[in-house]
Amino acid sequence: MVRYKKVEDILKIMGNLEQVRNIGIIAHVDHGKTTMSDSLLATAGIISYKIAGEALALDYLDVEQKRGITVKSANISLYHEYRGKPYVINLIDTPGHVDFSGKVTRSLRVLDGAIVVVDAVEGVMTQTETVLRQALEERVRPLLFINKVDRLIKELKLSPSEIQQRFVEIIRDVNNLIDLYAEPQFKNKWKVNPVEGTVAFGSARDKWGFTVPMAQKKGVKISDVIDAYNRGKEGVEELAKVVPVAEAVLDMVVKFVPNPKEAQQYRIPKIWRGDPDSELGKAMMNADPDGPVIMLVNDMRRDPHAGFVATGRVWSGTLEPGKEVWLINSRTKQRILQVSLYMGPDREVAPRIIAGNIAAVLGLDKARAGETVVDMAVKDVAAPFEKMHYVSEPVVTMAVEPKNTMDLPKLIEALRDLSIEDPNLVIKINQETGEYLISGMGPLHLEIALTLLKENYGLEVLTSPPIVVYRESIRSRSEVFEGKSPNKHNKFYIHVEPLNEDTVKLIQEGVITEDMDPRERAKILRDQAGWDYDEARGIWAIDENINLFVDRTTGVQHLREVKDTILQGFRQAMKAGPLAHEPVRGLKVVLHDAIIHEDPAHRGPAQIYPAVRNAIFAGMLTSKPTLLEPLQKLDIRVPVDYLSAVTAVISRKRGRIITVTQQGTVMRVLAEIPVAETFDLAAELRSATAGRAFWGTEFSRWAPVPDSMLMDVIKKIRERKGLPPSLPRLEDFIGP
Amino acid sequence: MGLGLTPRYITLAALEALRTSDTVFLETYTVPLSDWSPEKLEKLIGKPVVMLTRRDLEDLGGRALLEELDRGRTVALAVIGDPFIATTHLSLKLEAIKNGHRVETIYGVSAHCAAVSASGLFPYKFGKSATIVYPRDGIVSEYPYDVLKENKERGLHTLFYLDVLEDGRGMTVAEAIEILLGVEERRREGVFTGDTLVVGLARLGCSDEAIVSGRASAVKRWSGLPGPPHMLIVPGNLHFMEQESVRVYSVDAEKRRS
Ligand SMILES: Nc1nc2c(ncn2[C@@H]2O[C@H](COP(=O)(O)OP(=O)(O)OP(=O)(O)O)[C@@H](O)[C@H]2O)c(=O)[nH]1
Repeated sequence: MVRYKKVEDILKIMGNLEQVRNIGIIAHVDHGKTTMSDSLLATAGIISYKIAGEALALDYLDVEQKRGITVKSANISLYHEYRGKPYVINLIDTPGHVDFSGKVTRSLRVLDGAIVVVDAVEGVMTQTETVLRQALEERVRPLLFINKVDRLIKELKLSPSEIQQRFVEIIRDVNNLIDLYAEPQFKNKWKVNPVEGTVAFGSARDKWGFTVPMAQKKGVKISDVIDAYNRGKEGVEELAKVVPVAEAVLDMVVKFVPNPKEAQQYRIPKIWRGDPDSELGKAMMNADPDGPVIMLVNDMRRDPHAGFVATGRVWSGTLEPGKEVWLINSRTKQRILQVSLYMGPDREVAPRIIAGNIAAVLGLDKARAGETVVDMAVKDVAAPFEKMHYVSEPVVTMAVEPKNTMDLPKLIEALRDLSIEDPNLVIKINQETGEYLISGMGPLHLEIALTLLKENYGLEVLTSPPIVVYRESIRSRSEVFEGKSPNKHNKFYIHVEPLNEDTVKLIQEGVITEDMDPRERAKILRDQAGWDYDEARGIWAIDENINLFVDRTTGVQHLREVKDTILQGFRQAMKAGPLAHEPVRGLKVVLHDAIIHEDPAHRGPAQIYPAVRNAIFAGMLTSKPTLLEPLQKLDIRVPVDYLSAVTAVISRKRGRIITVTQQGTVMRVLAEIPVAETFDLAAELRSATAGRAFWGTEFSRWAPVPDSMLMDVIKKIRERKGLPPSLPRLEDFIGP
Repeated sequence: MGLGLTPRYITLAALEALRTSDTVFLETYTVPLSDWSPEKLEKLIGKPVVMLTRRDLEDLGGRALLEELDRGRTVALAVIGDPFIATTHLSLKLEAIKNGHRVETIYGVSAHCAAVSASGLFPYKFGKSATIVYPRDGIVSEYPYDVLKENKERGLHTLFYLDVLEDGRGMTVAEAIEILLGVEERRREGVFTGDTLVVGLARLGCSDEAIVSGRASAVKRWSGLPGPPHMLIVPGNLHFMEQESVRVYSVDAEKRRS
């Protein structure tokens, strides 16, 4: 197949959406996603005449190749002919490691179909489940690839019927998940079925693969595969020529993944927040190239030569250089300087990109991943795509400083770049110490950020050991406290109480947001979280750590004028609670009454902030305050013989076994364990099981630190932060 | 006790009180220092002066001062101008009384008094006053605009105090006008425009005191005012006598003479 293409050829194919597919690969760590991408790129990647001859892998960042983990999601375009017709298939690489599932969700949104890669030996794992669920929630159609079939043959030495049995089990597991998570209208249609050809089997590494219809057509049977491996390297290479994995996978994609126009019909009503029956909604559902421009950015990346490149999907309209567009989330106007398409993994300048396709754009440096870019003409009516709701929250932090102090400005810039490229990486400055703090979803996430600093920016940095981030919360309702301003002229009467689980969930999932219509919000809270409607109508603010501020006052003079100052005081107080200056979580703050000085000179931030904070902290101190710690879910596979060794490690680390199930000779252990105990978990598990256990981790939830440890943990944090060792007392917050 | 506007304006009563006090505290954060300095005060009364910051008086509730009282000493808390006109020390006075101490107030010549006198506007025609503050943490207070609106509707004059930053720097008339115009830009209620008549006052009571009147846009550009402390008056309906007395300070030299 000739894959050397000119930009015009590809543009021509992209012009007919029937010949375009947008897909991704999703998998549990190490099940072979990168290998699969590489194989596809190697045999089907479009090679531009310009750079023909260069061999490029999808994982072009050095760090990733070394670690074997795909960190960045980039797009590569593939070329495939099916029944004599050319197709352009955009393969958006979704990160597999759950530390970054924020990014997975984001990349899923621009896909219409996903190849679920499952290791034939390990089967369906936690992350397979997590990502598959996320895909189904976004109405992305799954197709199954059972990978590493060679392991069944070479390592487990299974017979053809046993191999078939293994396939049946995996297919059943995947279909159970589809049954569980797909919406009713897709449940049956999207279940995978080998006879139909929505399942492929093979080895991404050895580059062969087939679906049942393909095997029938080419007359290949499982026993032939076993023979091929018995014959050695040559046999496998021959097999890969008869049934190339790219053909198996891409045929399946062309046949079963809907083209962008079909897909947008049913995906837009699900993933776009606006009215699908509006002009705009219709333009998007029809992927109308003449409609207003709407693009969803799913990746921001700095190109050393060109600056920030925004990659995303065009849902409606046509992107052209020179066009002015509106960025909904960052509320700014920017001009498109250049548009490109992907030729394999590279960008090539194009005159225009039409709806339904993936584009790379220069000039939108104010955008962040997740941004909705729209035509100026619809700037006031266009709704953004749904707010991303992330399943994970940053839970680990470390301080970084350059080895060479001269590098500080460079480090600051590099950190800024990293946080733009990966919004789940949070960069903060510790105001007291001047340290730069980076926070991420897990130790590995931070480690990768450090490697990027070194490899991409040439920065050598010193780091503190990673520190677990806690949250402060309460377990009962307080009485109303009076918070006085330092000049005693302003007073706030406030009580606090824990938010109920339902409310926390609604906020976490982005159903309830600060900027939504207050009536709508109050209705949802009344119906789904047991709120009093009038109280819910009084919500003034919802902060990023899931705390709520409610106004229940009536007729307080000057309140409106200091509302913003009060809320800033609230937000600041929530950033560092009274126990250990850790962020507060799950708090409802209710303002009952207030006295406010007439003159702005006597009610500035220096007066209002402490008054609001004092009342809140007094409330918290008297409401069974506690620290919440992040827990991780562990999914471990281990031979039966080592089961007790594994459970011993888990219980020693304050973990809890959720379930133990047997799968053949392998035990599957699901457990929950505090992140604080995980820093040497890998080493301990390995040594306890002679390296026979393998596992995945995932953020689970926040849970109270056991009371017996609470004071000790608080003391350690206070010590580390240079706070006085004893807890503040109530008198510190409420004057005489 | 009030020290008056500048060292020239201190009263005999104040001098007497300072000389008979065991400890003298000086508070300098609610009102700009103007021509006063701690050194000048020390020289005048011949004894050390203890400076108090906002934190000492507010966050710590004036503990240092109350402790001195409890030790049986006579304490003077000196404030520039008058002790209760633009400050918030009432709670301290009440606290001292509650603890059984005797509190005496020594009145001082305040900037408020001086501004009214200097402008020539009738004192009984002033409405509410307000402080124009710098935006802090991005929050712009629209309260002064509301006060101005209310006074204007009733034909009353408005006296604005101008903010003092944490580092002691005072707001200028030009900055105050800019802030009011900014609020007008958002609210568009025609309360304060470039054409609004204003009176700017600088360093009242100092040897270089200066006063200027005219359209807000012209006063804003006028470079003749010395540095802060500044105040701003927006006159309401003018009696012809008031009109003439304001015109004396016009930016426009022509008008001044006529
Ligand atoms: N035996 C065998 N090994 C494979 C096959 N495909 C991939 N591997 C190996 O499995 C390991 C993981 O493969 P990757 O492609 O890096 O897996 P991934 O899912 O991208 O993993 P992350 O990048 O960590 O998310 C590598 O050592 C591959 O060589 C296969 O078909 N058979």
